Amino acid sequence: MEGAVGLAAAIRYLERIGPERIAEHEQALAAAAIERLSQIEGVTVYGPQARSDRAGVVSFTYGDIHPHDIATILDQDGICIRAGHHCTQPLMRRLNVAATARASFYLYNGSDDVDALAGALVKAGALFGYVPA
Amino acid sequence: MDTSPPEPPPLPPPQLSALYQELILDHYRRPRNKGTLEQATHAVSLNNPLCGDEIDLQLRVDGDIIKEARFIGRGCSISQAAASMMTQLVKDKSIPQALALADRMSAMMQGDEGAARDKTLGELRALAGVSKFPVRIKCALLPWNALTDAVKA
Repeated sequence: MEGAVGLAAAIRYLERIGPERIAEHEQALAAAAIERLSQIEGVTVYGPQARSDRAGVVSFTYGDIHPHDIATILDQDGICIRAGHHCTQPLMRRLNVAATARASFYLYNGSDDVDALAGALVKAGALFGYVPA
Repeated sequence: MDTSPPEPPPLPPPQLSALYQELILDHYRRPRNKGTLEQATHAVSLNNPLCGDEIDLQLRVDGDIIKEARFIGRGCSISQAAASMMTQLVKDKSIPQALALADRMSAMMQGDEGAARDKTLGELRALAGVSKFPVRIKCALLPWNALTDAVKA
């Protein structure tokens, strides 16, 4: 019973905001993240460049730092990302990577989260000797 | 929005620097005994399907003694460094000695401080910090599981 009531409230909440505004918010954060991450030397961002072709997810690698190492380091700063092959092994082979790290943005994220992600990535780079600590 | 590159951070928290020691990164980037053996007597391929880490381990065993160990692997720094260190450590050890080391390694991953001080584990003690990161323990044990499978097969 409480589940159904909660679901109805969640649907009302999302309908009040509207899917277009949610998509716009996600895409804006993803675009900001791509711009920030691309400025870190050694980071490669995957996927289409056009903002309209993207969802709110940003897949990336950082030099030879394995994505699982990236995920562990970011986790220590309270940043939860997905790392691995994302059930897309053929795509990973095509991209010639073992795995990627992937940050996802949604309604509850803000530009401060993009800042936190970029900052924690620089910390990962420092641990692996990419940038001076 | 400020788009300048982020400032370099202060020193990483002690936990992370304990996990990613220089020695571990050195083995990750310059793995020892990487490759295949011409006259392998034992071989095992093992992978962790959840994270994608892989290891092909080959041994040349003479009598009871592991004369040589080599590996080919793909994965995170922890799994690759553990494999590299292990192939060095088990060289010229007997199979029972190698299995005892696998037990010590496993104990160290479960937080056994005695094991973490056990000199017989050699450079592998640099991996003691992994025990504080439960999801990464399987990374450090992957090569040891391969070794155990290989000699018990």
